[in-house]
Amino acid sequence: MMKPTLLNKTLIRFNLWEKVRAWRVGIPVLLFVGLPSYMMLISVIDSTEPEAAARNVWHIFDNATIYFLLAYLFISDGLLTGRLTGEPETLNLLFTRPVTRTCYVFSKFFCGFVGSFSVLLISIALTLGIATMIGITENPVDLQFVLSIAFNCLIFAAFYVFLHTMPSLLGLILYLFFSGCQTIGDIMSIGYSASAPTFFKYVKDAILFFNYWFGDVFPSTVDFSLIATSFYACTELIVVYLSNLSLFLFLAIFTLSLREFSYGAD
Amino acid sequence: MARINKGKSTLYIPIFITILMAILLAGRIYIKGPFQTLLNPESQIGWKTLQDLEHDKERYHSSLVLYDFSADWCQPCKRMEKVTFQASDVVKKMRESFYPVKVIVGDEHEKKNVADLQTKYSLFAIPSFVITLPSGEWVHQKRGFFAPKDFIKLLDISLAKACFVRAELKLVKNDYEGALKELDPEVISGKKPIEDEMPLLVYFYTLRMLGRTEEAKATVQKRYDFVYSKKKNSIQSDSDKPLPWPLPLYQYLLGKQDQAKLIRSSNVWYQKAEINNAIALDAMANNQKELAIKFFHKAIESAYYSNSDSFRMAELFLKELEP
Repeated sequence: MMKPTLLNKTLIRFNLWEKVRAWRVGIPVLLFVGLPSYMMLISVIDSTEPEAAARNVWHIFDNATIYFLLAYLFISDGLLTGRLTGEPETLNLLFTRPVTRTCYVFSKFFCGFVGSFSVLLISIALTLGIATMIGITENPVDLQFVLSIAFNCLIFAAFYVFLHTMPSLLGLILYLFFSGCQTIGDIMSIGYSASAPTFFKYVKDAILFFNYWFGDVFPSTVDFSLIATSFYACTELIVVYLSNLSLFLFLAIFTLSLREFSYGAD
Repeated sequence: MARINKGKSTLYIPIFITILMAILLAGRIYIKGPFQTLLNPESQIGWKTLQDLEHDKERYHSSLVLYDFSADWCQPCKRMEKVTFQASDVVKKMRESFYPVKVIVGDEHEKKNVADLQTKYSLFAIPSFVITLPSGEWVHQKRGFFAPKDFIKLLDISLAKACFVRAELKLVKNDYEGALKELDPEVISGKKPIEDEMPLLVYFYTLRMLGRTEEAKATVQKRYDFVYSKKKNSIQSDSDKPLPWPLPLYQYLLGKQDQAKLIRSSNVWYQKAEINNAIALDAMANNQKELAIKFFHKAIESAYYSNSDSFRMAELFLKELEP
């Protein structure tokens, strides 16, 4: 009898290896590998301030979008079918086999993390090599930097798995809701006013309530050097990070469990 | 539904993830709710209010006044309270060299004062940090979240800039000896970073007005040699291409380049501001008032486009030249 496992070898092989060999996924992956080193080359070579230009290139790895896109490449099956999003029709078949929802979610999560982390490590190594070759000596690559990348890959992989298991429209709505909750706080900081009518004060309070409680559900990039600075920031950041990670995986399994997969279901 | 061994269905959610999720969610709600005050320790910096600033004579003894514009609903401000203002080196530097003033946006009691400051410093976002001399002259300004090491850099730049703001104030009153005393030699030599070439221009002009042109040129030559050695990889052998900035400016100060070539050497706005300031100061030294006024106006325009603060000296001079 088969024992339930947390990871499925076939799913992992498919998502980490077979997918990347398909040109629709392979080419974007190659772009992620090569683009930062190419940008390092072209921005530094013709620059009057090469050190400053190099620092700007390294900031690419602070951008949340690259983690999200890499997680998408390794988790979503839509691109393989020629669509941006979408589930494979094989899910119906998959869940008639002894592949649990948990196993599916954890396998996808594992692939999302390992795939994006590997791509970024190769990219960092290439960029560092190019930077050293063209004479840039101060590069911010250290253990804290690599750990920040790893933890960013983890949380964005978990977040994308959560969105991936939702029906398409619901996933999009949730994405917009959580990113809106996060962004609205920054927008409020830009558009403050010392005096406002009472109605707007209530609207502002409502917005701030959502921003406070739901704003950090949408993942943002982790900076290890900040965590190392203050115990108080460390506690809240770590708890929120771990809570998000477990929440995304739990909700992914839960949602997938609620959904019906059978032949003939639309 | 499909079943696997031990009667567990494929709908099974592992108990460990459920418990972990529940515990962490409860911890998160507790930290952000009732426990929040314990995670917001009192700042060691000793923030003052705008009312304290009005009555407190202590500010005249401190080096610089630092205004922190924040609000209780501003998330980056809270992050700064938790992270940056708890760092020991930030606290030490703030206590040693700054008079810290917390300006709460939305404070009903200080509505008018806050609105006036907002207009005066063109603030449109928070958190914002404005640094001034104790007498109120603007020194430096930045907005956004700063990690501790970046905030220390901001404080260091402010301290370096303050010395030449004081020098500028004395310079416009033709107190050249006083201006020279205010200038920090480490800023002039480039040991302390300051973001632009204005301190060197002020130093050069001051020494020139004191009849010490050779000494001024020797300092510029040292800076030229240092920067040239750092940038020689990017220098092209083609003699028509201008040298990387700020070498053309140094060449002009050393008398190795004319005005027209200097003006053509850059299209970057902040560099044009420095070019216009240099030509204006040269005109002042040669008693060419009309030319100086023209180039100070150009310097202000270039500085505004580039969002640099090299307009300040030009404004001070124009107040004296065009009363």
